[in-house]
Amino acid sequence: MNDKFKISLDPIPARAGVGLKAMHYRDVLDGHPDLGFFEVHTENYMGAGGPPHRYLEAIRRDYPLSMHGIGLSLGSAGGIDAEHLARTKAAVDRYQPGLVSEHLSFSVVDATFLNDLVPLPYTEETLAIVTDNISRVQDGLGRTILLENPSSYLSYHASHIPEPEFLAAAAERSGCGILLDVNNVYVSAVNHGFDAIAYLDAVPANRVGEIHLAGHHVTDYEGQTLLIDDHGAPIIDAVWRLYSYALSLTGPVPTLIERDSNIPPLADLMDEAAMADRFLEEVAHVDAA
Amino acid sequence: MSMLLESQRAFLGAIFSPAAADAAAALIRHDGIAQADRLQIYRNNTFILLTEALADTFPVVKRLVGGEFFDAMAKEFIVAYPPMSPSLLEYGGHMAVFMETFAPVSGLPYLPDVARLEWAWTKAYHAADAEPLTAATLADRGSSDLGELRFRLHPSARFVTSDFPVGRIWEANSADGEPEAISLDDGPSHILVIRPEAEVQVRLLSPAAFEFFLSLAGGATVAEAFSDPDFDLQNALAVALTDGTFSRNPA
Repeated sequence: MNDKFKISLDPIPARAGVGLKAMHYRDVLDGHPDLGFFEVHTENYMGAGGPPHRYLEAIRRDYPLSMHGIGLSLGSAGGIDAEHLARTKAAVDRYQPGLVSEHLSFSVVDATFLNDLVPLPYTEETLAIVTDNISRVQDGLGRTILLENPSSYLSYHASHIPEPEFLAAAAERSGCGILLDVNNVYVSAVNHGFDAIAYLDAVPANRVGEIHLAGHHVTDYEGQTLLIDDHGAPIIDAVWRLYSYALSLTGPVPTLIERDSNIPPLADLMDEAAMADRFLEEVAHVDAA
Repeated sequence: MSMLLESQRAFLGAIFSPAAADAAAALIRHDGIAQADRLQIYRNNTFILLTEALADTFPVVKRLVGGEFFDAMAKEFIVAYPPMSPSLLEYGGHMAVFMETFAPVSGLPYLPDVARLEWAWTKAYHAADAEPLTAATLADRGSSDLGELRFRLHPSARFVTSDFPVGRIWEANSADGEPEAISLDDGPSHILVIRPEAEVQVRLLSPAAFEFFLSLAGGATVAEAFSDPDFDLQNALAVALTDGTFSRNPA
């Protein structure tokens, strides 16, 4: 490794972090905001060189890092794309992130990339495929990953395993951890009419290694509400309440403020991170008591 | 065939050909919202996000044709050339080829070359980094015969030619460009796109300089690359040793 790029495999602290966006690179380097960590989309750092790497290397020297993939397509029946796994490994080797995560969904079919996270039918067959794919990724990277629960706008006739049980079984069989996206739980609970609290109760809390929080977009289909997970708005109160409940089960865990569209000034995201930090401190006191 | 693979192929079909969405619709629940509407959400996500990725790579093309036209063209492009890798840094390389047979832009014969130039820009932006070769380093190597030297170009270097003045078209229509009147008869372009440090540079070269650097990039010695007696070789090399054209790693 390049000796001007000294970093340690420091774990991510149980604090709030923010998704790193190119438009905030300079603010981060100049202002050095007080945050627990930054998270990036692994796919944005798959080029050989250039400015994105210069910025991330500089920021990585000062902050723990989490790498969040959107292209491995853990749910693909066709298996894991070896080239994309190699690109992911190169990025992970380069930055030595404290956490690596991916989604319980598919985005690749016969090599075509949909650039979206599509939900899966929750069946025994899917469970076997997802478990194999996670194992392949973990073997390839030489480390465990976190598996994120999806948001979804459709469900399948074939699905017969409840999503939290599916997550738990995939984690149990592959040895991976869970990235609990509380906004996704809220969005899918509204879209599919399930109880978000019961969902959180069914997720194995001891496997949750990170939490994601984000805002969403509300749409209406002839009187029926459908929530769209666009990461384009502030986190709503109902999601903060669910977060508080989730923390009562998991204890303090690294928590990411995710924003991928309508990106505001970094200060706005810092406010949401400060809010998450207050919840984390509260639950840490409860744990200590 | 695996049930999961079958359902994923049905889904793929529904995204790229709405007329073939029945197989996917049969797999999913209604639950108060039509299956076609549910599939449309995913179709929109795929096309909107990929269109944004293409707009990031081809901002000058977008400016030249207008946002609405660009979005419609991107949709046709995505159907013709869907991404075959989850690394979208690789996506868009077929845009120029696509435009050459895309009838609605046949009146803009220079447009495919603008797309080539923007693609070269993106490739240069993400290319490997390298220490530039300076005159001092070259002198330290104690090289005797200049003509026998082989230079390695910076790994970001990309060459673009066009029968049209696309270099000036690109400059005038880039984010900080100044509008200017450009005639398509203003002659061909010989362009070196290169990123010695953080900034991508689009260098408009003379035909002789272009041929010279292209030959060097192909592995020729300076003597082999030097073919035009009117070309100011000494000056071109002196400039190249200050502006990061060459990589420090020896050829």
